[in-house]
Amino acid sequence: MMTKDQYIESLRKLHLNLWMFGEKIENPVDDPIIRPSLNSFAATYELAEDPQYQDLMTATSHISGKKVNRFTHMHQSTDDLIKKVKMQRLLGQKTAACFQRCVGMDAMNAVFSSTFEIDETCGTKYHENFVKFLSRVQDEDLAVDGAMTDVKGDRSLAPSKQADPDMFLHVVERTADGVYVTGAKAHQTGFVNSHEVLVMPTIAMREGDEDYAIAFAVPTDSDGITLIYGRQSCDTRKTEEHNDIDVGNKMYGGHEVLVIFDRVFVPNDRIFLNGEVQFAGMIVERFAGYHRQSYGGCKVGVGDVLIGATALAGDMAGSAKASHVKDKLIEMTHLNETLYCCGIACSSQGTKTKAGNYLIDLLLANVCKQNVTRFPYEIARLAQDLAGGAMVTLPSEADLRNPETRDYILKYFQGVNGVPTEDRMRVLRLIENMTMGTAAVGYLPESMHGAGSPQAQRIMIARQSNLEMKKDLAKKIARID
Amino acid sequence: MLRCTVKFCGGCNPRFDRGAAYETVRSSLAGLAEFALPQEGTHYDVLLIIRGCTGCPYLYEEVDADHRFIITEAEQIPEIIRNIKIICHEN
Repeated sequence: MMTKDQYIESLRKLHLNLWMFGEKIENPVDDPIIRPSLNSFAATYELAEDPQYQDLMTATSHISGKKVNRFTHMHQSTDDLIKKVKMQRLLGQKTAACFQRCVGMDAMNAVFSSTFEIDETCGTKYHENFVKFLSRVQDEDLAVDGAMTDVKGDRSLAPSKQADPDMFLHVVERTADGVYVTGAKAHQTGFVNSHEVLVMPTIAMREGDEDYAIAFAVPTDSDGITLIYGRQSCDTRKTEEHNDIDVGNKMYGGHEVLVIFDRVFVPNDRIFLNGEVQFAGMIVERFAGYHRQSYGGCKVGVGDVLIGATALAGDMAGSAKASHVKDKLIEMTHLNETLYCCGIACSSQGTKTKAGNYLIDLLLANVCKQNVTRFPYEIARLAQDLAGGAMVTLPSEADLRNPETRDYILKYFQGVNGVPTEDRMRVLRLIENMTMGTAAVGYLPESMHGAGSPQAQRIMIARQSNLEMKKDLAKKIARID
Repeated sequence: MLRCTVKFCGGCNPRFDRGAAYETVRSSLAGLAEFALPQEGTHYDVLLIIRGCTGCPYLYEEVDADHRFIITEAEQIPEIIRNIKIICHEN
């Protein structure tokens, strides 16, 4: 396995075509806007080195029998699925941000089982291709981005009916050696910190969409790939001179990019789906299911930090003993642990796929994610309630450092005697960061839309709710023939 | 000298500081017991399992040890130290 330092050095060797704030970024590793997200990703390597966390952070490869980072592992049991959620909670606690590596793990597990079943029906060799790719990922401990969401254009039209054919990523040329693809993938979390990208179709497809039913993996710095970095609220605070307090979370963060594929070549042995439209939906459903499970871990870990910060804010303001403060902290914990229950539940009810890896219970995973679209917002609301208005009216760190204003700030933002005002500012800025600043991207709208927007889960819940069986139950009790 | 090893639960949501618990046990038994991370194929007198909560069921059967002690809360530490000392004296 790679160490944290080896991972960071490996990223320096990538030649990404990355753009941000109108400029090409030649050195993303040391860029102050990007670096916190790299630190979060690097934590997935760092914790795997620490004996205190290895039981969650590592697993035994079913291919090589060697110890691998769990983020590259194919889940071999329900126990593995549970440990995945626990690992994600742990990383959320350590970073208070999106650590980005889950999407690749979820994509790999979905494609692993799907390719097996595609080959069984179609006589293709996608599973063999994928296992070869996976073996390299495990052996070299590579970081993989999972890319699903197309930009989609007119949502009422199928991929092949769009006015602009590039609204869904598609094959533009087929050769004896492989295919060329064009299109774009939106909201790509962690792409800049990844060595490889695993691309999947974004929706179930039908006859006529064959060129759009494509899954493959390529290096992230392949010719023809362009990245445009997404803005985050308060992002430029990271470039200010006095930014130790005002950023809220100096060390960690997350990022998303728009990834453009302009005639990117994919060799045959890196293709995992190519025109078999009837299987696009299987990949989408399985990836979405795994990723909806993931949110029952990562967001809970981030929630743990927010609950802690809120409790600290109460301690520092002298309001910790007020009954409503205690009750709101209990409510935040109740909501947070409910999400964790869902993550653990869908894992414990997982089943073995034909390929041998384990899939979560899809109904429970969708219920999990549906709750995640709501509860973090309520937790954040309660955090802002208890933090008070100072969270958004605090002067800047530059004013704290200025001798003309420093004493006034220290005096008038003082809370409980003995607690340094600067510490109070740090906690309030952390709450601001997580509920309104750069980290809110990961904790709130990502909870809403990541792994599918709320309606996507409701469709899946409806599909799997088995309403007819429930009607029969009622009929029997009501004695209706 | 007693040969001891340690396994940590993974630490998703520990109720106490597992690293500090380990240091307390290790330092309290200095001169009586030697702790190291588990090595495959090595036999140990004691396996100390430090779980951050009561939720983890793992006993780490792959680690070959005569005695297994489990810590799930900080209050158990003094008793665990006492029990390991008893084994030291028996040996």
